Amino acid sequence: MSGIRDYFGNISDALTSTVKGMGVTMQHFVSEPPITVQYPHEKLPMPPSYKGIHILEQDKCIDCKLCAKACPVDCIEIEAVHHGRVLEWQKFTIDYKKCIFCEFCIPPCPKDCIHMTSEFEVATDNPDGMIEDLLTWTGLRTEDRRAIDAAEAKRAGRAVEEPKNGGPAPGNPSPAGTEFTSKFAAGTWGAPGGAPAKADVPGAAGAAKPAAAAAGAADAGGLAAKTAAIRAKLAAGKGAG
Amino acid sequence: METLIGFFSRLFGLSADGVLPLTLAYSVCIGSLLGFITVYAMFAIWMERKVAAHIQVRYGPMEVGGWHGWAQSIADAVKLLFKEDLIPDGANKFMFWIAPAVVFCGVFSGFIAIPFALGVQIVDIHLGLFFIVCIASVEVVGVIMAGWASNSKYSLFGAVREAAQVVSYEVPAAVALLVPVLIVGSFRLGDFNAWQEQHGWLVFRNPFAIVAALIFFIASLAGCKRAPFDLPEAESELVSGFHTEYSGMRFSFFFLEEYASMFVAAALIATLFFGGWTLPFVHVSAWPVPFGIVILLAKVFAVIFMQMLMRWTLPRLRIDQVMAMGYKYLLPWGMLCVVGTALFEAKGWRWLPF
Amino acid sequence: MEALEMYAVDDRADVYTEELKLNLGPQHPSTHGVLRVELRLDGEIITAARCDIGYLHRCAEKIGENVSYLQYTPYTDRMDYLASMNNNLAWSLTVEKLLGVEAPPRAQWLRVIVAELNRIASHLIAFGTYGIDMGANTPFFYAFRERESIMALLERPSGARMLYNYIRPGGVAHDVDERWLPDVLAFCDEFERRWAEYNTLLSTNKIFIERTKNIGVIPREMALDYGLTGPVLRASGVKWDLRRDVPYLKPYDEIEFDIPVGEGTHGTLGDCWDRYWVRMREMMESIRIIRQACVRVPTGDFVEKAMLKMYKSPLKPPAGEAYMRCENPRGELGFYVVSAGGASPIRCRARGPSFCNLSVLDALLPGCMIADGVAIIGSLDIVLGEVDR
Repeated sequence: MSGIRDYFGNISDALTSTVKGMGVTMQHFVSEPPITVQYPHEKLPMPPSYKGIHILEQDKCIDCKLCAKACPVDCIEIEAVHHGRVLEWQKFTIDYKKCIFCEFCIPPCPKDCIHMTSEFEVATDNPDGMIEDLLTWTGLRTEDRRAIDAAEAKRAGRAVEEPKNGGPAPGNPSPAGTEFTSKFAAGTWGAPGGAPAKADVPGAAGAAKPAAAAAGAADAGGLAAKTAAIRAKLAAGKGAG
Repeated sequence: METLIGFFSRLFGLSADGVLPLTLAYSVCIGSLLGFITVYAMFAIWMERKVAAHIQVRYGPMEVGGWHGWAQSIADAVKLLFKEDLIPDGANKFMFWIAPAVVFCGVFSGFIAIPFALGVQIVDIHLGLFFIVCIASVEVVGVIMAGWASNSKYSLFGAVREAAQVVSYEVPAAVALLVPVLIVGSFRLGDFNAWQEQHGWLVFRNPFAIVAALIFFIASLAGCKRAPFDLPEAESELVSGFHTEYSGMRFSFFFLEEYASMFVAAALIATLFFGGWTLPFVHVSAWPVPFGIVILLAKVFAVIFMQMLMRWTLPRLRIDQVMAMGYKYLLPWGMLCVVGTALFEAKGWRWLPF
Repeated sequence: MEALEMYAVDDRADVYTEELKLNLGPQHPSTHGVLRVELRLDGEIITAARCDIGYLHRCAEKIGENVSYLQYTPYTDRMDYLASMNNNLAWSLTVEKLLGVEAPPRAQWLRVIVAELNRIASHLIAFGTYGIDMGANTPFFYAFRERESIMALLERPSGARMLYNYIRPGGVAHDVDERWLPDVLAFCDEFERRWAEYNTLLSTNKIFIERTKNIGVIPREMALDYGLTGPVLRASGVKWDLRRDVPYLKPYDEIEFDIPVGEGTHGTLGDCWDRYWVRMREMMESIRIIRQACVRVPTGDFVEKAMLKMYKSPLKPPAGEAYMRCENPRGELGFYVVSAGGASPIRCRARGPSFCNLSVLDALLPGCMIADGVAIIGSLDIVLGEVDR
């Protein structure tokens, strides 16, 4: 008897559970809108605390290398020549093939000059494009060079020579890698029409809202304020150079 | 097709039995049928992806072609055409080559008996229903050949499961199809349309017809290897089952076959139970031919939508549960429906006022 | 590791049949990672099985001997990458035990909330992928819709969507903004509605029940013998949960929650359906915990002030050893750390729940069909990152 009860129970269970399940899927088909964000045509706003690509306030950095020591995977490489208190910068690279975005490089900085932005598009066509140089200028700035030359001349007892033709060119901007830094400072990273010249720089050519404006939904003040603060600091630093 | 033969013979001024009008008529019919199947399959694949996507709260194809990715299937077809033709090492080359063809031809032949509208039928076979059921089981041979010739254990598994499953479900399908045959008294598919134009939809004729329609729907899902019976191509277990080793155009034949057999099954359900190209108590045969085609296609796509909804809702049955369901549940109830329908027809009982 | 031997099944003179040897994996949609299971089959029935692991071994324990205690935290994220918060928590508690410090109350309550949110996220993946293993592709997408909400919530304090590196020795990394707790409560409301939907779609589905009942039955004694933990153990009827029995965070003492245990609802006690159903109910219990915790989070420091120096210079715990264990979504995760007073541990051992739970597979698979084998592997809910480390 229980066999017969099981038999008919199976049929009724199968039919009711199937119909109910199809009701759920049908309801989703008809009335639930898709939740997909059509990237890269639309982009989600990133929260201000998102751990993304780094940015460096080069003028404040004192080459203490605490961030490089704190990194669990040793992806930061810093090289600078010290002339007393003045730094002749050679490189400050982060290898994004190794970086695990853990943000351990941020707290140790005594001058609060390295930050993580909310940008995440690191994809490139070739592995070398993943090594980002965070410097905006290398070498020495003009007035630093003059000051060092003057100090040397004074030590050597020579007269200070005035450079001809307005002096040597300011520090050369470093090659591939500052695209992000300069665009971020200028506010054009991720903006429409900001098509990069090189193919291996992450695509800024999408019709996407600029990162600052994209923070519409929640935390509007936070992201815009943080980005503006970083940009202001960078602009102030560049003005002196 | 008789009209086409007549048309061509008049065009060339030859007798209707001549070779030329016959050949031309056949070519036009089969060519247009192939074209229809291909276009339909591409549309059905796009529809499946869109239906699946919206059930799963996402979009599906959106990029290719602009509006909701309507050209995605065309892009996929072009891609499959250009793919490298791989034949696994140690595969039986002849069987590997012929398996997709056998599978596709089996299903393609079923299309020739389906009436799309009054007079729009390739051949109005006397035993139309019988013919479709028989010819559709040719695909089993092709599947077994595909599984064996692939020289892969996974493929063999899929092929053997498939053989057991499809062959088993032919039986309840055929038994359930006896119900309309009993009511109408003929195997010719055109007769079903004519009968339903007069008497209304066959599915409401007696309560056993509803059960028979359900049984045939479930059995046809198993015959098409659709979920919840998609063990032969269980992706999460066998990585594509019997067509794991196929790539490019050969794979697209299997894919076309699946959607074509869905169409045949849906067309059978629509024709036998839900009126085909007629509307209940409306004299559709007096209307122009395109109306009939539109009505049939609307019903067919409604059934196909139900098949897709079932696929994306239900989990998969295990092979022994598939066999148990076929023999212990569908077959007895199918036979009960036949007996009940015979009783209803013999006594002339009616359960609904019309 | 020697391969399984082939045995002849039927060696009559005219018919010679052999059992089929099949590799399930390492590339396979249903092995939940790079797991290889060598099967010996008689038709569809599995007669013997052997697991072959190590395809995802990344020397995590050796790396632990070369980096500092704080620097190791992101490595623990990547062991069981679906339950990163819980891994961080176990590691942080172990380091805190070595140092003899305790996180401040606000940090402990925040830890409870994020750990339980991550538990829900992890169980959602177990639920979704189990549906896919069974052939139902749709519940996976619904599960990921909820998971997206959780990841967006957890992204706000930690800055990352999956590998959070948020719970650190001494407390947590950052404080939460003032709208975070109300948003978490709003998520709880939404989730309860969706949970009912999951049940309609999968839990009460007759086909799903038929596929999972009486499959892979682990009796109580077998579960205890093999050292199984987590939902796998609780589904066999053993009511053991570290949050209640060995509370590792003070708030667990103060919050009311139940421990769901398998009841043999549809078949034998300890079958696949019980394990699945325990996980489903655990999600609701986690919601309960989160609701209570959200209204009781005290104000205060989110990290022990004395520990802040670990960011500038490496921690040097006194020589000694410590073992702390936590209730991860997959079971009991334990870290055993030996310190010799230096900046790095000299031994850093992780007792992974998935590794121990997987050991029962060789005993469960024989006698069932391949489809059942897939169901059993899915019900154990393993993550190969944790099995192989």
